[in-house]
Amino acid sequence: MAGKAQVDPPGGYEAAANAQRLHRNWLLSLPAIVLLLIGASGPLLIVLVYSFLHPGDYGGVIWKPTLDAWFKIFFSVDIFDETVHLADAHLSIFWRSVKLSLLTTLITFGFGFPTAYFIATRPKSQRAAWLFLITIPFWTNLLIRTFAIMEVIRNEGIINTWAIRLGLIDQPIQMLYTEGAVLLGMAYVYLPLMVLPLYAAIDRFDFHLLEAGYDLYASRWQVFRRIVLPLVSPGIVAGSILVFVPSLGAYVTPRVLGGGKKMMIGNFIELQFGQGQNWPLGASLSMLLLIVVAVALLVYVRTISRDRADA
Amino acid sequence: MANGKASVAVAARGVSKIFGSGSNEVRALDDVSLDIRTNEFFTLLGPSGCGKTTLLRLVAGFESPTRGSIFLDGEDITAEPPNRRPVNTVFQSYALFPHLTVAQNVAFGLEMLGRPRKEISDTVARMLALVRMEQLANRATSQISGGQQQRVALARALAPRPKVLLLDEPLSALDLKLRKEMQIELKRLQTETGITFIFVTHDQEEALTMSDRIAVMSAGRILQIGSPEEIYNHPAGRFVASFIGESNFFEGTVHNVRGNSVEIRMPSGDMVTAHSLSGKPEGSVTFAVRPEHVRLEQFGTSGTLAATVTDSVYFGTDTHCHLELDGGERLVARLQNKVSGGPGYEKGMRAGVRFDDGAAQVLAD
Repeated sequence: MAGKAQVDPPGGYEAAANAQRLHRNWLLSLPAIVLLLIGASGPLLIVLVYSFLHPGDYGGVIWKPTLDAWFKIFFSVDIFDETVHLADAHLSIFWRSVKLSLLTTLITFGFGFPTAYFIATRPKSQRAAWLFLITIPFWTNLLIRTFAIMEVIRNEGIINTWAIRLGLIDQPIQMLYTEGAVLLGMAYVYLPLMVLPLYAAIDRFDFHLLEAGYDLYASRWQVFRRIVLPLVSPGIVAGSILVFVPSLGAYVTPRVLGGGKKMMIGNFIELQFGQGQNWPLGASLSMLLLIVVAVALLVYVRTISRDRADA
Repeated sequence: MANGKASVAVAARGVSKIFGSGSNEVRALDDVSLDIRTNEFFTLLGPSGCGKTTLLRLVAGFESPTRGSIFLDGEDITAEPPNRRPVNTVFQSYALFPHLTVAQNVAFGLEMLGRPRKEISDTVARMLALVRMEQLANRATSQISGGQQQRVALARALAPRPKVLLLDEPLSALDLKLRKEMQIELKRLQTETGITFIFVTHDQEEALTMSDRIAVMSAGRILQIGSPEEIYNHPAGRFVASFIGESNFFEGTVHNVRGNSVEIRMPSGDMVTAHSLSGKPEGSVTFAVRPEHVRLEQFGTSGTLAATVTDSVYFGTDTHCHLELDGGERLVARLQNKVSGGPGYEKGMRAGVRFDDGAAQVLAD
């Protein structure tokens, strides 16, 4: 020991301990990183590469780079005179997807906000039970829930049968295979995803602020708009993203309730990899969907961080 | 004011408030009537659960009475919602809007009243100056201290110029030093604005230092209303006497009554002259004497009660002498300390106890 001076590690013991802890934490996250590389990043990279290739005649790809698939999303070339048109069919599918997703978000907010408010204002002992009820639909497979809705609204379904039996209508009303049916299905499926973040936000809300608002001459509507809404907005943004993002890529619900006619992006992408046998177009559509979602998330993160800065 | 009715800002008539029902029924207020005068600093004082906050919330309109009516400037406002009452509240938790700046908080009430933009910005500036918060106008409410939040809450409630300002234990979250400062500040604001203040507190010192009049409450009832001096010097009952300040209690029998002056014979046979607020007390009564109104004299001095010092505790400004009368009653005398030292009564010494003139107060219960 003699002559061997004790040397402090650079940056002191605390920095050394931190570095060690960081190293250990990194090791802990290794399984997740490997899984993400194999399960998410890898496939995504393949999809990205495929979107820049030629389609094979019977599916698959020909390894020759081209921007054709990306071009075809937005434009179509007339096979006779080779003039370029906007790809109306694709755009209408996009438009329907965005429209139905936005409407789904609005509807789930319209129903979800009062529900979340109701739960958040129950006595603490009851709230868990109410939240439990909200999550019960998750126990059943999505496909089965969607077929249940189909059973209710199809021409020979419960609603039409009873309406005819009660003499309210003569002919069954066509509800299945309409945009309304898709909307109903998506709103039903995604409602809990709206209620839960809204509940979390309302639960944090200080209800004394309502009294302060009324005390300062605000009407009910003004209290809601000027005090409640701004303070629960992080929950609204979170719920909206949680509903909008999966709605945009929804596959099962539009397939079952919309039939082949009311296609959304998800169904259209599936079509390219299946019957359409145009993998690059499917790949480019997937990437586009991903970009739209990423932009939406970016807006979300921005809003949240701005709210944090305000608070 | 010449017109007696016009000088009443807030009146409660036969107000009861019952929460819950059946076996869970809680009678928060029990047939309360009172008049609060215009421009008065009125304090509702009592322990927690006495109904003082409920009464304040009834005036604000957050609760409606089970029975009885609330009047503002002679007008029945019992059915008016809080946003239609020209009354503002300073909440115990301040309840500042966390998404608005200091200035936006103060402007909120004026905006809801639809006042012109120019008037709003002028008033906000004036209010922030009044509570000395001009420099922090654009801060978020989370970036200011508790005392500053308190000032913002005050400015916000004062900005719409309410007829009555309601303050629900606004100082309870502040530390002692800040609380003392705010007590003076509140009194100054009340004088400067000329607005009627109704102040709720459980702190007797706060009540005594700031109020024009105090209503002492217990178990949903008002026990006594009066100026701080009246309440302190002439408590009506045992509860008031023990809740506000400290008191020594004695039993005795009424010997003779002359006006407000009552001669009482103590069990030891000694005679004490006490003051009675009202009525003609008779039979056995309780009377109270404040510790600082007790004098100690040479043992055996005529007209004094014979006592033994059981303990003597030095408190800095004064010394608390614990005594036992020869009749067995125990009491505390609070004796002023001098530069030269304490009063010089040590444990075990004999002393003569004398009450200051008018210090003994006959209690109603």
